[in-house]
Amino acid sequence: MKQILVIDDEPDILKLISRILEKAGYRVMTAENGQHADILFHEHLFDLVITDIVMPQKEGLEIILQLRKNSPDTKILAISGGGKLEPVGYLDAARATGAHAIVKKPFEISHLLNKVEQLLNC
Amino acid sequence: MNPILPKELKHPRVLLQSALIFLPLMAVIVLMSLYSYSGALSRNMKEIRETAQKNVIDRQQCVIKKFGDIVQDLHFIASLPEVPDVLENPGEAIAERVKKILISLSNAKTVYDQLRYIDVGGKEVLRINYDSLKGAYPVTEPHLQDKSRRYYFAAAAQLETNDVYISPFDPNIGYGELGRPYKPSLRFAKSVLDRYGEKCGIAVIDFPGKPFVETFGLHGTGQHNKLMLLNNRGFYLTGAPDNNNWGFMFPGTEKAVTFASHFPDEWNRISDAGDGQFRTRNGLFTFKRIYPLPGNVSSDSDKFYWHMVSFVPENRLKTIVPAKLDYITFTFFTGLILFVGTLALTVRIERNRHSRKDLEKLAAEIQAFYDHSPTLIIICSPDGEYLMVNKAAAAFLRMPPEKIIGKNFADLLSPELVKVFLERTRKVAATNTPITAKDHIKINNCERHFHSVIFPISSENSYPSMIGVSSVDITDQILYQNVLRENEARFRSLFEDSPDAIFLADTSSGIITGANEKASALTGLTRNELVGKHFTSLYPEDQPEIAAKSFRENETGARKSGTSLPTESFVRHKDGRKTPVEIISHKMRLDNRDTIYSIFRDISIRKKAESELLEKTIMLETVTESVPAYIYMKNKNFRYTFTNRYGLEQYDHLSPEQLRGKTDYDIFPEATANLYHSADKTVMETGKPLINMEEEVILPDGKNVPVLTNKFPLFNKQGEIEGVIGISMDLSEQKTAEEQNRKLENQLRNSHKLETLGTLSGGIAHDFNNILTPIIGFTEIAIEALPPESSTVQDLQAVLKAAKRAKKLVLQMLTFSRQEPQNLLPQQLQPLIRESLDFLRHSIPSTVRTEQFIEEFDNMIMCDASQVQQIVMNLCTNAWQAMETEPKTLTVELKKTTIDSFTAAMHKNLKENRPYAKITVRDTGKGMEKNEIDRMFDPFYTTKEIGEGTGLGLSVVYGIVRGHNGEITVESTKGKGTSVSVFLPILTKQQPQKNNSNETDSGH
Repeated sequence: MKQILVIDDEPDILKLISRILEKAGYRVMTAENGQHADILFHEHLFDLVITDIVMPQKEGLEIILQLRKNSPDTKILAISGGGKLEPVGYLDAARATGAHAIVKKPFEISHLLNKVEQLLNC
Repeated sequence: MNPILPKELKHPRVLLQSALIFLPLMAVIVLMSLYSYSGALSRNMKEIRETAQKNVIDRQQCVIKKFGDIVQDLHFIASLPEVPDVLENPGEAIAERVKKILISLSNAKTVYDQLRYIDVGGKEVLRINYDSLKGAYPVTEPHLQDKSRRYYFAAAAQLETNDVYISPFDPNIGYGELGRPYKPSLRFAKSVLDRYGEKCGIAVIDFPGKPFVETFGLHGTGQHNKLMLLNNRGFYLTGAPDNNNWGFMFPGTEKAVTFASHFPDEWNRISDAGDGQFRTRNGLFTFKRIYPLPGNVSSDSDKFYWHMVSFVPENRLKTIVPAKLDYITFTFFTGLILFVGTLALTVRIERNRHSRKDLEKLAAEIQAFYDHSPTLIIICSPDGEYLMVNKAAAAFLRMPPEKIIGKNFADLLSPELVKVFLERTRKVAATNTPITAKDHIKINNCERHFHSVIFPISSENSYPSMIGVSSVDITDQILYQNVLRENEARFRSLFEDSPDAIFLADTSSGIITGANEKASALTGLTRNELVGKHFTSLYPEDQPEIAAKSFRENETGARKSGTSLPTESFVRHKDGRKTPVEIISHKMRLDNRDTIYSIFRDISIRKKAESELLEKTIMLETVTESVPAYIYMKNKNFRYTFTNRYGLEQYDHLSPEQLRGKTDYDIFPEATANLYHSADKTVMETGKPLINMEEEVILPDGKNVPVLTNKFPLFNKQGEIEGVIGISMDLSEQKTAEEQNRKLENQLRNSHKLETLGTLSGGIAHDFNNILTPIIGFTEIAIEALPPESSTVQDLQAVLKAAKRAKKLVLQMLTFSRQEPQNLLPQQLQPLIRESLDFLRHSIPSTVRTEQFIEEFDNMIMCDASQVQQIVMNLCTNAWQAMETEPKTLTVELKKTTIDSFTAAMHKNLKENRPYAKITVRDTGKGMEKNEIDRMFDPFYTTKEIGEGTGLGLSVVYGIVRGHNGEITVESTKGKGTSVSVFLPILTKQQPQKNNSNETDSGH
């Protein structure tokens, strides 16, 4: 069973994504911020990390860089509801940083699931 | 004029005088000639007329006489006593006697062709013919003819006893034929009576026509006239012009010519009148009717008549007029002689008059000369008696001339002088040669000097009885010479002590002939060195042509006007220095030579001062003429004395002369002028400047220019205030700049505001998305969890729908704040705009007329296709929604444009001189107020009803345009419509590569 970590500072979104993925048959863990995620990275190995970009304590871009360094096999999916940083958008930046896919918030469930499946099956 | 003619002929008076004498005389001569000519003419004519008449009468007499003779002869032969016997008994011896008588008669007369007796039966009884060769001879029996049927016999038979019948001329017809040659004859017949007084026959005399004519000389002509004899029917008996006499004998032939056929008019007059004379254009006709028979011989003798006509042809009449040429020649030559004579006379008179005048004139001239000559002229006898003195001499002797004459030297002069003078006059008289003398005569204690000539006056070579003395007072000359000498000394001192260098040079050669001390100092040469050098050597060596020119100018200037104009040049010093000098040359006569006197004034100090002054002036001029400010000076009377170029240009390009002397009141409105005037007055009264006054200048075109004015008093050398100088800085540009700044600031503020709003909305969007994510997500999960038929599913669908609208709104906010990722590619705008318009066609109402002007150009624009389409869609949607009343016209335009400096200044995102694609969407809607324009791009600003629009459409456009490094501008007129233009930069050649490489980077 594939293990997925979802990082977002919005508990509702964490809850939503967990529900969706669990229902689809994935093992899901959640972290509300970067520090919590760091702890989980030490204890577990994830097939996929879904992370928000704009977060209070630790920026998503930092997490992506860290994952690319410490766990290169882990797939990364960046999600964001924000616009863009000059001159590139948050998601563009995430892709540039190393995210394997991006999804804009709000998303349709099927869209998210498609992306997840694509990442885990390749 | 012909040189041989006397010159007096040129004088009009001479010609006039000649004419006055000549013309009347000439007129008399012409009249006399005319009179003489006409007299001769009428005399000739009269003579011709009289001759003609005389001829006619002569001939008439001749004819009458001839006829008388014949009639007498007829009577004679008819009354011979033997005749009745002969008639009754022809062939008797008695007949022989009658024959003899008749023969002797015929021989005596020689002109009777036949003498006959015819008995009452018409038979010739006796006939004597006459032949010029044979003489008279009787015709014997067998040749005697029966004449009973002849007309003359019939006529004669009927005659009264004493009547005589005369046949007209008729041809001699014998035996019924015309005898040839024609022998026209006159037949005279008379009855022969027997002793009982009964008619027993007739006696006939045949008279041949030709001798008749010859006898009367009728065929002859006079000197001029031609005589014609015509019968009463007008046939010519003689004198026919073509010799067709006897025309009546040839009736019906061309020989039957009459006088009437030649002269019809004349014939009428001749046949009507008995006699007379007239002239027609054919000539002179003189005529008389002739009754040849004596009145007692025939009872109807008045029916038998002829016309005797004398004819002088017109051409003949013309030849008999006196020769005109003679008279004309006579008149002409007489006139010519008279003319020449008159001219000679008047010329002579004129010459006399002239020579008299000349003499009088000469005398008057001599008199005047003599009277007014300042020379003393005295004529005296050798012994000192005054004979004549002129006014000057009389004045010298202090006595009127008339009193002097007759006096002696001794009466008027001192004894010493008398002695000297008498010696001289006597010497001259003795030698007969003139002498000269000089005298010093004291008059009124003044010594006067005289120079005199004493000369003899003699008409021939004899010794003179008169002596002339001519004395000139030369005192003044002597004095003048003294003054000259003094002057020369003074001049020499001036020359030597002059503070200026002076050179003397010979005009023709240019060789220096003299120089003063200063000249020596100026050149570093001694005066001896200078003299003999050429004038041009004074000038610096490197300027030989200037030197030559300067010398020439000085020389010609001095020669022409006496003194040359000052010229500036340099003088060379021996050590090479050049000294600036001003040269003035005078021409003068020195030692009989034309000399140039040149003064060289050292002007090096002046030159230095001048160049300093010039520098200052140039600096001042540069400042005043280049400063963009009004600089002006006015005098005490507030009149302009100077205005700089800027001021003049602003004041309608007045020339300095036009402005000079004017006051403010001549230029500006009164109120403005009052202000300036009081300011000027304050400055001049207080002597203190006025600083930084804000004023306005009113230009001729009515424009008010704000200026900052400083006014200062102008002082003269004495420290008195002489006027005012003013400098007015033009503030209009500054004000314009301030205005522009304000606008820019506003623009900036506006864009800041929008950017701030963008950032804000970016943050809001982020949070919104985070909020929306669980809403949408959980609703979807909930819907899936419920059975599809559940009514709750529909409710959740509504939630989902609302959430999705919110999602779209957030997307728009993000676009506005340029936080939406773009897909920038170089591409052309034309297809994008056309696609958008196609798409729009479905949503724009049909009441709106759409126009598109898409300019075709190949240039690429770096843009996001969907965003460009969104720009067009949003602008068009706003535009058609803004149009509420007809006409509704929506115009979409695309063109290529280049940004000018002004537009660039107004919009910081537009680069000057860069090409841009300009998309303009124009409507004819209600337009906007300025405050509306300022807010139109603000997010959530809408003029639509609540719920109709989000207020983000234009904000999104704004965001997109900014995201493309473009600019958006708005022009709107309330009530007319709005035009929104979007400028997107056109790719230049280098840019695409740069952007491509960026994209490649981002792909990794």
